[in-house]
Amino acid sequence: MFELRSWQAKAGFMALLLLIAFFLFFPVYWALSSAFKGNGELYQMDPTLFPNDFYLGHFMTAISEGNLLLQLKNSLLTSTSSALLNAALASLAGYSFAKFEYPAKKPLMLLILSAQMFPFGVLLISIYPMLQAVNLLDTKLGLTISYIVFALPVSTYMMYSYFKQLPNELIEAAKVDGASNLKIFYRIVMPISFPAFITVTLYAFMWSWNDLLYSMTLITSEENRTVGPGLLLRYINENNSDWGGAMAASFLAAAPVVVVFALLQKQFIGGVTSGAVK
Amino acid sequence: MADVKLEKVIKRFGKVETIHGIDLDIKHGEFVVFVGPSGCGKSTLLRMIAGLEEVTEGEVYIGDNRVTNWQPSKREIAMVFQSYALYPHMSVRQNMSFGLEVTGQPKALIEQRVAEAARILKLDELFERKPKELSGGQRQRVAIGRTIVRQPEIFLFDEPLSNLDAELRVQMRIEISKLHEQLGNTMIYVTHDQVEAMTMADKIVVLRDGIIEQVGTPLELYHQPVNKFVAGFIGSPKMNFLPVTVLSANKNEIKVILHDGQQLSLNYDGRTLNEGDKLSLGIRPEHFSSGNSADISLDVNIDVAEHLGGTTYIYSDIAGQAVTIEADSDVVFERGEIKTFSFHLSRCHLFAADGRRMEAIAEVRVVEKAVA
Repeated sequence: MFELRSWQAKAGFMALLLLIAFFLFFPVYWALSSAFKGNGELYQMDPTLFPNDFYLGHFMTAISEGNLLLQLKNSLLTSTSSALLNAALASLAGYSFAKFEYPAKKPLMLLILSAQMFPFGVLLISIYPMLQAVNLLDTKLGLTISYIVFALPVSTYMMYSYFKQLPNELIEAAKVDGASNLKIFYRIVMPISFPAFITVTLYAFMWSWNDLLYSMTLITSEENRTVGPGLLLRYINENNSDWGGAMAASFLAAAPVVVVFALLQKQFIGGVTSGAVK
Repeated sequence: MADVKLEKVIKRFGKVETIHGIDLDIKHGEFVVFVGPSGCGKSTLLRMIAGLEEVTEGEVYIGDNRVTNWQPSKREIAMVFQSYALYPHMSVRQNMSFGLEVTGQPKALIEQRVAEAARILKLDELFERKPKELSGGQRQRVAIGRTIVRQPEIFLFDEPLSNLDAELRVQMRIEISKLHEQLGNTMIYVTHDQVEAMTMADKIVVLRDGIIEQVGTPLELYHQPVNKFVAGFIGSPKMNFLPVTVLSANKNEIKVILHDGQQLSLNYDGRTLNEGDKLSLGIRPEHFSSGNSADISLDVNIDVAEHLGGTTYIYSDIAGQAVTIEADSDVVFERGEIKTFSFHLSRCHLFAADGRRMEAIAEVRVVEKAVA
C-alpha cells in the first residue's frame, strides 16, 4: 500500500496507532479495572489506574441481584438462533442470486438490499404492528424474527459476493456427477463456504447481542428481557450508584461475544478476506 | 452404443449467435477433437453435448435418445474440466466416489470401481490426500479418475491439459490416448492446441466463429485442408502462404507469377479466374529444402534463426508475408544471411482469393519455370 521510509515517519505513524488504540481500549480497560475495585477505591477523589486488590463483590452482586443470568440466557437464545437462521437463509438466497438465472433476479436483489437503506428504527415501525398482528410481541420468537429482518439483506449480499467467486465448474462437475441442486448446495458449496458462513453468523450474532432498540421496544416482560436493555434499565438511571456492579455486569454481558469471536476469529478473518485473493 | 449426433445446433447468448447451425456425427468409440482458436465455440459445443449449456435451436442425440433437454447426469457422460474442478474439501477417494454416492450406488460397487480407476491411473497412494496437496498432473489424473469410475458412455474433455507444463502435457496426452485404447469409449476432446489434436484424434473437427470448417482424420486435414484457415491451423509451425498473381487461366491450366517474377504453370481448372486475380500458394515449413534442387527456389533473407538442436527454424519475410522454414539442423544460419531454399510444387496447395483450396485436376502438376 504505502511505505514509510524514514524512522521519523515510522515513529509518527506508530504514535498515531497508539493514540487510536488508547481511545479504543482505555474505556474497556477502565470498565474492567473499575469492576474489580471495591466501592471505597472506586469513589475516592484520586482514581487509581490499577485496582489495589481484586474485589469480586461487584460480580457476585451483578449475578445474584437482578436477572442478569436470565437476560444473558435470553440474549444467547435470540442471538444464536437469529444468527444461525439468518446465515442459513442468506446462504440460500445468496446462492440463488449468484448461481441461478431467473426473471427479475436483479430487481429482486435490489429490493432486498433496499431494506438495508432504511434506518433500523424506521424498520421497527413496520415490524411492530406485524408482530402485534401475529401475537409475537414480547416473545423471544418475535425478537428473533426482527433481528433476522435487519441482518438478512447485508448477510445475503455478503454470501452472494462469496458465492459469485466460486468457480462454476465446481458446480457443473457435481451436476455432471449426478448431484441434485440441493445436494450440490450442502455437499459441495456449503462445506467450502464455511468461512463466509461463519462471517455472516458472527455479524448477525454481534448485531443481535448488542441490540438495544428492538429489544427495548418489542420486549416488555422481565422474563423475556435481553441483556442490553436489562443493563440499561438496571444501572443507567438517576438512582443508580452501583457503578462497580454496572461495570461487572457489562463485562459479563460482553464476555460471550468475545469468546465466540476468539473461537471463530480465524474463520471470520478468512471470510472477510476470502474474496480478495483468489 | 454411444454415437453422438448434432443436428442444426444453434446457440445464442441473448442476441449474439455463437454457434451457427452445426451438424456433426460422432461414431461410438471415436476419439474426436474439437479444435479452433479462442472464441470459435468449441467449448460451447462440448458444453451443449454435456447439457451444461442450453441448446437454442437444433437437437442433440446420444445413442438413440434425443437428449437436447436432458439433465447432464442423465446423458451417460462424464466430463474433465480445464480447472480440474476437484472438490477441494474432499479427499482423492471422496472426489472419485462422489458421483457414485450421490446416485445411490452400493458401497461395494463404489469401492470396486474406485480401486479399479486408481489402479489404471496409479492413484492408490494418493487416496487420502486433498486436492491442494497434489501436483497439477496428479490433480488431472484424479479428475480423469472421477470420470472413469462412473463408466460413462462418453468422456468429454474441456482443454484438460492447458494448465500443465509442457513436459507433463505430453505425458498426460499419451496417458489419455492409452486410456481411450483401453476403455474404447467415445471421447470428445476440446483443445486450442493443434499438436494435441493431431496426436490424439481419430477425427478432428476444426471450428471457426461457430461453424465447422472441416472434419477429417489428422492426416486428411494436414494433406487436404479445405481452406487457408484449416491449412494454417493444422501443422506446426503453420503453413506459409506466398502471394501469386494469375497471368492467364483456362479449363486445364492456371499460369501464375510469384513475387520475384518466377512464372508457374499449374494444372488446375481456372475457369472461375481472371487475369490479375490474387491467389495464395501454401507450402509447409517442413517441405522446404536447402539449395535449389526442388521445383521452386527462393532467396531468403534470414531475420531470425532458431537452432533447436534437432531442427532449425528460419524466420523471414517474403513479399510482405511472414515465412517460416524448417532447415537442416547441421548448418548454422546467421541473421541477415541470404540463403536459397526450394520446394516441390507437388507439396504445394493453391488457395483462391476467398481462402478456399483449389482442387488440382491431376496428381502431377506441370511446372514451367521461367523468370520474367
